[in-house]
Amino acid sequence: MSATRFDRRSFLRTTASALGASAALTSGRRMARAAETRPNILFIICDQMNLDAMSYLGNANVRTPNLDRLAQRGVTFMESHSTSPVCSPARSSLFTGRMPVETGVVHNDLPIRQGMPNLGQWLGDRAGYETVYCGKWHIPQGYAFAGMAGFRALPTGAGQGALDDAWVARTCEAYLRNRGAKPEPFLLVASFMQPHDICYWMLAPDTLVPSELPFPALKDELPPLPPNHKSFPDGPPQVGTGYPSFDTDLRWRYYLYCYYRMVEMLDGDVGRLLDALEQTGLAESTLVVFTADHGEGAGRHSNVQKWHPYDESMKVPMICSGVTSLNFNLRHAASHVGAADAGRRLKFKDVTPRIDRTHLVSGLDVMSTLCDYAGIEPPPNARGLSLRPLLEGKPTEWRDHLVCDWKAEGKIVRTPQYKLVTYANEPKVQLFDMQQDPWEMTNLAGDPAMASIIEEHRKLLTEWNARMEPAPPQG
Amino acid sequence: MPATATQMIDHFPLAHFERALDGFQPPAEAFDPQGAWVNAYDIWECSQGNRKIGALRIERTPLDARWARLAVRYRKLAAGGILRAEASIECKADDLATPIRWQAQSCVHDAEDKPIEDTRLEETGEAGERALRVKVGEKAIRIPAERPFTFDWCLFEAVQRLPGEALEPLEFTLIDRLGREAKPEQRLAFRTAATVELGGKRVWREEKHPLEAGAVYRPVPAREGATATALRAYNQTGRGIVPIVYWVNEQGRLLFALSGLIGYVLNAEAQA
Repeated sequence: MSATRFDRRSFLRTTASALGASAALTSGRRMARAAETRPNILFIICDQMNLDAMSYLGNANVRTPNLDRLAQRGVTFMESHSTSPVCSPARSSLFTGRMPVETGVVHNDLPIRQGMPNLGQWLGDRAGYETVYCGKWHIPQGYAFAGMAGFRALPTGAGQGALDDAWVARTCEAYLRNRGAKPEPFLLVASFMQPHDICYWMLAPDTLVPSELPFPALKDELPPLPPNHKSFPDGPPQVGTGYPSFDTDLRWRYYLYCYYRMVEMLDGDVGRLLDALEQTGLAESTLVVFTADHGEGAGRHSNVQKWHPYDESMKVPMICSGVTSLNFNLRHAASHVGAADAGRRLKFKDVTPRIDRTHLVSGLDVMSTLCDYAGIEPPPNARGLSLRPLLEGKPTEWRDHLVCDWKAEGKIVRTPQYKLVTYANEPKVQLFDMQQDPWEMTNLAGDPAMASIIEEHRKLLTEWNARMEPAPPQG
Repeated sequence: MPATATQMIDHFPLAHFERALDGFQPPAEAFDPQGAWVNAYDIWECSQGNRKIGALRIERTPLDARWARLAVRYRKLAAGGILRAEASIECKADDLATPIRWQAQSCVHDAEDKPIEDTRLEETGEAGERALRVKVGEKAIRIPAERPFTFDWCLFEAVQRLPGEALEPLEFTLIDRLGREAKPEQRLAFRTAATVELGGKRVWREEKHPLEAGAVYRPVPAREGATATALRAYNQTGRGIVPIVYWVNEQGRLLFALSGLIGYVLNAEAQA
C-alpha cells in the first residue's frame, strides 16, 4: 500500500469525513456565523467541457478570457472529477451530493429519486435563498420549466448551445440587473449547453466534418492531435463507445477546431454574467462556482463524446471564484442591496489565483460547499466534502481517494497516484499510474507487481459500495 | 455563375441542412440590397432531428446612400415559453454594415405569452472609435472593440452587398449576442459560386452500375421539383463562432446562413 500513500487510518478518516458530512470541517459555530453572512451564489454549469480547455491553463488552441478572469479570482482544481461521464447522472450528483446509483439517475433522462432533496430545495427551505434556474436541467426534463422542484425557472432553453446559450446568459443578466434590493441572497444556476454541440458532430460526420477541409484557410489554425490520440490501452470491452472514428488527421483536427470555438462561445456567455455581477455591484458578495457535467473525448484515445472512463471524459473544470480574495464574514452586510455602501466594499486587489493540483475533488462536493457557505448542514448522507477550507487556504484533512461511475455498472477508483477502472462481472481491469502516465497510455493491470495495488483499490471500492444506498431501479 | 446545376449534397454545409431545405422556394421577386426590403428567416436546428426553433425578421430602411436602419425582430422557442427580442440598428452602408447606434430589448414570455418582467433587458448603444458605449437601464458600460467591427445581424445585411469573387477578405471584430460580446479575429471571405438544385423533395432514383456479368441498381439521392438557382457563398471564421457560410442569390439576397447545427432559411412566411 505504500505506493498509494494511504493506509487504513487515513481511509477511515476519509470515510468519517464523507459519512459525517464533514462535521469537523463545518463546526456549528462557523455555521451560525455563516448563516448571518450568506453570500449570493452563481452556479455556472456547462456541458461536455474538458478541464484543460482554457487558455489560463496553457491551452494554446482556445482563448477564454472570461474563464481566465474567473480563474484569476479564485481556485482552479486540477483533480476535479465528474461522478459519472454522462449528462443526467452527473447532474443528479451536482444537485444532490449523492452518487448516481443513489439518486437513481444511472443513465440519461431519469428523475432524481423521490424524496431526495435537490440543491434548490435545500438552500431555499433551509437557508432562505431565492433559488432561480435558467438553462439545461436534464433530470429528466431537458430545460428549466415552470413548476420544477426547488427552483423558480427562467424558461429560455429549448435547443442546442449555439442558439440557446446567448439567451441563457442574457436572461440571467436581466435577472441580476432587475433583482434590486432583497433581504435574501440568491442562488442562480446558469446552465449552458456549450460546448455540448460537438456531441452531434459525430452523429453526422459526413456533413459536418467532410473529408475535405471545408474551410481551407483554416489549415494552419487547426489544433494538433493530442499525444494519446493513437493510444488504445487494453481494458474491459465497455471502454469502447461504439462511435465511429474519423479516418484522417485533418478531419480530427477540424473537429477539434470546432470544439474549441464552442468553448469560446461559452466563454463569451460566461463573461456576460461576470460583467453583470460587476456592473451591479454584486461581484464581491457572490460566490461563483463553475463546473461541467462531464468532459469530451476530444480525440484523446481517438475518442469523441463521453461515456468512457478516461480523464478526457471524467475530468471537469471546477473553479470557485470570489472566495479566497473576499472575507464574506467581515464585509457581506451591504452586498445584497448592491453594495450601496461603497466604503465597505473590497476590491479584488488581494486576489491570489491558485491552481490546486493536489486535492481530489468531485461533483459531489458542490452540495456540501454551497451548504457550508449558506450556513447549513448538507442533506443527510451527502457524500461530498466542502471545498471551503481549500478555498480559504485553511488546513484540513482531505479524502485520499474518490469513486466515479461510468456506464451505469462501471466503477473507477482514483487515488493520488493510481486509477483503477472496473466493470461489473468483467475480469479485465485497467490500472494507470496517473503521475507517470497522465495521458493513460499504459495499462499496468497485467504487471504482477501491481497486483497488490489493484487489490487495495478493489478493497476501497468494496467499502465505498457498502456505504451506498442504491435507489430502486427505474426507467 | 456556373451553368451546370449541382446538388445540395455536393456543397458544404448545404448537405447538412438538406432536409430543412425540403420545399424551399427561391424568391422570384426583384431584390435590391441597397434599397428597402424585408427578409424573414426560419431558424432551424439540425442535430438529432430537424426542427424549426424560431424566426428572424430584418427590415432595411435606407436613410440615404450611406446609411440604413435595420429593424430586427427575433423569436425563439423556450421550454414552456417563448423568447422575444427586438432591435433597431442604424448602420453604415459599408462592407460590414458597421453599426453606429442601436437600441435593443429582449424578454422571456411564459406559456401564455405573458412577459416575465424580470427577464426584460433593454439597452441602447453607440459605437466609438475603440469601444462601444452601451447603456443598460441606467448603467453605462464600455465594451472595448477595435474597428472595424460589426454585429452578427448586421452581417445578414452586409453580405448581400458584397461583390462575390472580387471580395478581398474582410477582417474585423464581431460584436455578437445582441451587441455585447466582442469576438476578434473574424474573417469574411468569398467561398464559391455555384448553381444548385434548391428546394423540392428528396427522392431516391435507381442508377445502373454494370458489372462484368449483369448489373446492379443502386439508389442515388436526387431532388424532385427543385429549382436550379445561381448562388454565391461567403465564409465567416473566427474566434467564438462555429464557421458560418452565407448563401446569397444572383440579386444578392441572403437565402441561407448556416453554421454547425443552426440554419437561417429565408421564408417570407416566417413569423418572428
